[in-house]
Parts: sequence; C-alpha cells; structure tokens
Amino acid sequence: MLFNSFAFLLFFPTVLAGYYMLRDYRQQNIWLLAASLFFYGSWDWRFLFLLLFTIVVDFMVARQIQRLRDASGSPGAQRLLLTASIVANLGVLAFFKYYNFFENNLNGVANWLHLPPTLPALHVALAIGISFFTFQSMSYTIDVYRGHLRAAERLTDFALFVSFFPHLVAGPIMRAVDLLPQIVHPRRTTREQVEGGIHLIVWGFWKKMFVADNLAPIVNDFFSRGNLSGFEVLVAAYAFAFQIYGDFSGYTDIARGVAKLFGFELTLNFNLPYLSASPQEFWTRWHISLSTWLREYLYFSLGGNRRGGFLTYRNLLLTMVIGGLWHGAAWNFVLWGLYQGVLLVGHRLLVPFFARLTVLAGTWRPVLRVFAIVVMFQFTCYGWLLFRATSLAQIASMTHALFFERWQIEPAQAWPLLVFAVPLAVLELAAGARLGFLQAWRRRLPLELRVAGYSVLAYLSIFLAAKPQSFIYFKF
Amino acid sequence: MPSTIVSRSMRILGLALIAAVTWEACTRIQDQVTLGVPALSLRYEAPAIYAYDARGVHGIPFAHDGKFRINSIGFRSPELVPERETILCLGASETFGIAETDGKEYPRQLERRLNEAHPGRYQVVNGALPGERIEDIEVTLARTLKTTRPKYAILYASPGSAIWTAEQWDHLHPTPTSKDPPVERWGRFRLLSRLTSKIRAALPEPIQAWSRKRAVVAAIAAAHEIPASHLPESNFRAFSDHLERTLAVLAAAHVRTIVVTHANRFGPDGAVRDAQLETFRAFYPRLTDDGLFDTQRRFNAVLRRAARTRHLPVVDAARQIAPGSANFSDFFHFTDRGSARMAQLLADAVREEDVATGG
Repeated sequence: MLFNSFAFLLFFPTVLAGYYMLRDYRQQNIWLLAASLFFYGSWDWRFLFLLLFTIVVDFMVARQIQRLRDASGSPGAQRLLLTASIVANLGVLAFFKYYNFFENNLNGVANWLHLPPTLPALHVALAIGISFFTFQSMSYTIDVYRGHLRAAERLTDFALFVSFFPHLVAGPIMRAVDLLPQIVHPRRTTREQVEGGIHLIVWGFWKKMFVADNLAPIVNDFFSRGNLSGFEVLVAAYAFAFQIYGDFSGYTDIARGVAKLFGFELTLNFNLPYLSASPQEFWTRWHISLSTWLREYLYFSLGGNRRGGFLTYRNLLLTMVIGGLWHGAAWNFVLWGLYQGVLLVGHRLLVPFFARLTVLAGTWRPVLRVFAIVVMFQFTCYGWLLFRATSLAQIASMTHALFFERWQIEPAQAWPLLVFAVPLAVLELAAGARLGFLQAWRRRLPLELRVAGYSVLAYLSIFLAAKPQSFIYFKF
Repeated sequence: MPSTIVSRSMRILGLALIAAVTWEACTRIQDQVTLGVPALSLRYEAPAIYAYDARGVHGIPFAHDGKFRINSIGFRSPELVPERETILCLGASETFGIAETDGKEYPRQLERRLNEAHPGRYQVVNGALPGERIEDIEVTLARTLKTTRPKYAILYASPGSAIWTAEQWDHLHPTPTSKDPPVERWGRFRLLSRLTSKIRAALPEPIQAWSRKRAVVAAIAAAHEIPASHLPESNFRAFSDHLERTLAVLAAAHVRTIVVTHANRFGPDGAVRDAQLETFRAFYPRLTDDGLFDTQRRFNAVLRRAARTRHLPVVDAARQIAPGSANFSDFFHFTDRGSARMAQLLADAVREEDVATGG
C-alpha cells in the first residue's frame, strides 16, 4: 500500500477516524498497531512473521538485559544477550536482503575457478523496508544495553514503536529514546500539529508526485540508453539528484505529516542537503536518521576518531561502505559507500587547508561558501550516478563520457530540469536562505491564501503527476 | 453554540470554495499552456488540428494543440526538404501516433533509424490522421502524392476500415464540422470532468472492470446491433476494393508500397487477454472478443493477398510485434517501445527495397 495509492486514500482516513473515536491512549496504541500490521501485511502477509520475529526477539532480549541490569547482574550475560539480538537481526537481514547477492557472487567466483556452486539458488524475496525496521529494532536493544533507556514494559508498545506505519517501510529510522516515550504516555494532538501535518503531507505529495515521478521516466530513459554524451550524463545525474531527493524527502514529509495528525513527532530526516558545503555537512543534512544511526551504533563502536589518524580514516571508510551496502545488495551501492567514505576522508585531510582558505577569504567568505556548495553538489551528483547505475560497466562508460569525451551541448535535453527540478530548488533555496519562506507561508499568511497555495500544489500533484512510481527507498 | 457551528460550517464551505476556484483556475491555465485553449473561454474548445470536410480528412496547416503540431502542408511532420528521399506513411491514429511521447511515433523513429547510416538522406512524412479509413486515404491520396513525391509509401491501414462500411460509419459518426466544436460534458466548469476521470482511473480494479463492462453494454445499446463474432464478407470485399484502388494509385505514381499487417495488443490469436479487450469492445461494439480476432485475421489476409498479387513487400507486424502492454498502450496504439519495434521492422524493409532496386 503506497502513500500515493487509492488504497491508502481509504486506509488513512479510516485509521484516523478510528483513532480519534478511542479515548484511551492505550486503546489508540492497539488500534495503531493493528493498522500498522495490516499496512505492512498488505504487501505480502508472509513478511509479517519476519517483522513479528524481530519485534519479539528484541523485546524479550531487552527485557532480560533490563532485568539483569536492575539486579546488578553480570555484564558478560548482558553482552551475550545483546550479541544474540544483533546476530538474530543481522541474520534476518543477511538472509532476506543479501542472500541472493552472496549466492550470485560466490557462485560466480566458484564458476570462474571451475568449482561446483557453493550456495543453492533460493531466489529469496526482498521484504519491504527490512533495513529500516531491523536497524530501528537493533538500536533499541543497544540503547537498553548502554543504559540510555529502560526496556519497554508492554510488548504492544514496543511493537508499535517498530511497526508504526508512517515510518515503517522507509523511515525515518526512529531511535527508541525519541519515539517510545510518545507511545507510552498519553498524547494530545495540537492545532499546530494538525496544520503542520497537513502542510507536510501536501508538500510531500508535491515533491513525490510532481517532481520525482515526472523525473523518473526521464532518468530511466537516460540510464537505459547506451552511449550517452557527456552532457547527457550530466543531465541524467542532475535529474536523478532531484528525483531521489523529491522521492525520499517527499516520503519523509508525508510520513512526518501523517504521524503529526496522530499526535506523534518523527525526527527530521532532510535539512536542505544540496546546500551542503562539505561531505561532512552533507551527512548531517541527508538521511539524517541513517547517518545518526551509523555514527552512534557503528562508527563510535568501531572507535570513531578516538584513536586518531589512520584508524579514524579506516572507521570512516568502513562505516560508509556498510552504509552503502545497507541501501542495497549490489556492487554499485558498495562503490557509492566507498566513494562517500573517500570524500569524507579527503575532506578531513584537507580541513587545515580549508580553514586557512576561510581566514584568507575574509569578507568574501559567503562567496567561498557558495562556491563550496556548487562544488559539493557536483561531487554529490557523481555519487548519485554510482548509486543509480545498473552495472559497473555503465558506471565506467558514463564516467568516460563525462570526463574524457568531447561534450555536445543540447539544451533541449535539459528542459525537464527546468520544469521539475528548478521549482523544487528555488523553494528549497528560499527556505535555505533563511527567508523562512515555508514557515512564513504556514504562520503568517491568511488561511485563505494558504488554502489557495496548497490547492495549487495539490493540483500539480494530482493532475500533472506522471504514472505513479513506487518510492525508491522502499526496496531498501 | 448553534451560531458557532453555522459560522464554522460557513468558513469551511468558504475554504472549500477557494480550493475549487483555485483548481478551476489551474485547469484553465493548463489548457491555455498545453492546448492553446483561451483560459477565459466559457466553452472548452480544443483547437482542431485536422478537418473532416468535402476534401476528405486533412490536417490544418500550422495547427497545434500542445502535443501535436501540423506542418505547412497539413502533416504531423517537419517541413519537407526538397533534396531528400521521401517515405510516406499512410494509416490512421496508430501511424499518426496518439499515444507515444512526441517525437517517438514510428514515422519519426523510422526517419532517425534510416538516417543513422546516411545522415540527411531520408525524410519520413507522417501522412496519417486519427480515424482515417482506407476510403479517406483514397480520397486524398492523389493530392498527398503531388505534394510529397515519395519514393516509398508505407501502408498501415486500421481494421476500422473493415469493421464499419462507409455507410455504417457515416450513420454512426456524422461528419463533424467547424460549427460543432467538441463541448465538454460538464459545460463551463472544466474541473469536474477532469476530476471524474482521475477518480475513475484511481478506483480499484474490480470497480473499473465493472465500469468498463457497463460501458460495453451502453455502447452496444447505442449501436443498436448484436455484437458479431464474424463480420459479413461484404465488409472485407469493400475494404479489399478500396485497398486495390489505393495501391493502384500509388503504383501509377511509381511509388513502391510496403504493406504492413495490423498488430494489436492481444496477438494474432488472442494470447493476451486483459482489460483493454473491454475498452476495445466499448469502442467497437459491433464485435465480440472472438469477432475481434476473426476480423484481425481476415483483415490481414486481405492485406497479404493484395500485396502478393501486386508483388509488394509485406512487413508482418501482426506476427513480429510482441503483444502485451510493453508495446501497446491500449488495444491498437503503440507505446514508445512498440513504435521503436515498428520503426525497426520498417527500416529493415526499406533497406531491403533499396538494395533490391539498387537505390
């Protein structure tokens, strides 16, 4: 059940009406849990067992860890329980997301060495949103182990934390410290939340249906053709940059908006990422919930930057490669992760130079920042090319066309960017330039004008939308 | 308390009205930008790009309605370049290209393919218009040949030419004139019809299937005929006669004609059966499902026979274009990919003819 489907159009108001008919927040939680399981089961009911397995394992492990902690039990036993939880979660993820990838590659190597296949071909179906709910559930157990949080008392509360339908299949990846307290305490939906929720839903649908879905066939066309010119590769990368941003941030906006209407606050996942002036800044603005997760639970666990120099760079590279692989079981995602890691390491190495440059720039600092943003955007777009490519051969051919062939500029190829990407960029820039455009729209304009504005966005989303596409991040 | 409820209700109604007026304004701006229909016009009147009058069906020079653009001599093609070898495509909406992205209709794709090896050698004229039947082609052919002087003609006739005889067609679809512009069903409020069709398209498949079945029943009732699984032989004889005369005119003008059999979404034997069958039946209420496949077989048999008799090359699109939604956007019309496949088949045929004639 996609957000942009007729089924969701029926599902959401029904759940909302049922929710507000119930007075007690515990009953509301049960209602939301049932709705969330129905939402997830609507894709493939068999994967419900997978979701329930993750929920039950982590709930029980966390309870056990809490019991040991309260009784001042052995840290070794707690660690053992945590390891069991991590193994169970990563085992599920490895099998349901990466088995086919491992099988293809290992058998490919075996074939190359003239050996019999090492793994049987099982053609495991990918469970929607598995990376999101596994990471979220794992973070809970780790937080309980670290003592940042007490284990949930009720299974239903924890189950709702993992499966709450707005963020279940494509995030944001919520940390238990942020979402669980909202579940276990009575909620009150404020007028501000309702207004903000509607704003985010309309805005999100516009980004998804008007911007991303209209760019999708253009991007698909570029990436399905061979022999693109350098200019076409550039247009393809730019178009995909705005498609994936419109798609993913659109989804997050809808998810946050829907959650607000139930009185929940989900974490911000995007903060104008294309206005980043460095790779480090980019990862504090793009898919914030994932980068926070990777930093908190992987990078810091590896030692972070505590041991300095080489080990810091190794940790950065390892974290980003795993982050790349989190996105999908394919070599181009590994390459994309590695590329992001190299950018972060490169930037870290050049920090003293950039600091000097900033001092030298003096009053020209804003110009320097704009220049850095433009350069960083080019690096980001090349990264998207690695991300979107369908094979390593395509990456090689596109890179060759981009950097080593003579460009033939055909402005007609770029018009979709003008129609679909520029309006998004302009609005985002307006917001980024601290004009408070969106906030002003929401808070200061008369209601009548706001309704007219939202109606225009809704019109573009409904009547000028292309064929509805699945959200890109669902398959992660 | 009641006054609060009334004032709140009035406010909500007012906001709903603002939203509706905004959407109507958006609809009109969209019509102005994409179709050239004046935003303030009270009647919805899409600009005509072709006319159906005493001169037969013909494109209106320089007309455009957003997607389709007609050139100075009445074809959906770039302006002719005198020194190029011309290929004339004859047919109906499948050739005109109503469903493909602009520039992806098969005549344009054919031109690009042919010119890959010999840049600038060929120009392909899209001589087709939607709804054109074989007798319409026949009426305007001499004039078309005079203006385009083609080396080859590609004939991709629509089975509509055999499903209805000329008399039946004229009875059911009186020739529109410029005095009777199409008026939207919802009169002056353009938004409603658009909203209705959007909601219909978003409905779950079972409801859409029921709605399609109702449309078929309504179309059959309106046609006052019992759907046939086997059309009378006279229909095919009439088609054959018109076809013969058309080929004779082309031969007399020394134009080598490539005859193309008609392909559809369901395949020659109805291997693919999906919701588009009902759309087809609502469009052609004279036929049952089996009637469609029977008509298609007999129609293509007439084409093959005519080509054989005159020793003309045949492109068997009916067998060589795979059925299904990848190549067909509805029952007859191509997707971009279907058009590309058609262009590939035709380019091969043109090259073979070039080799055979030493051209």
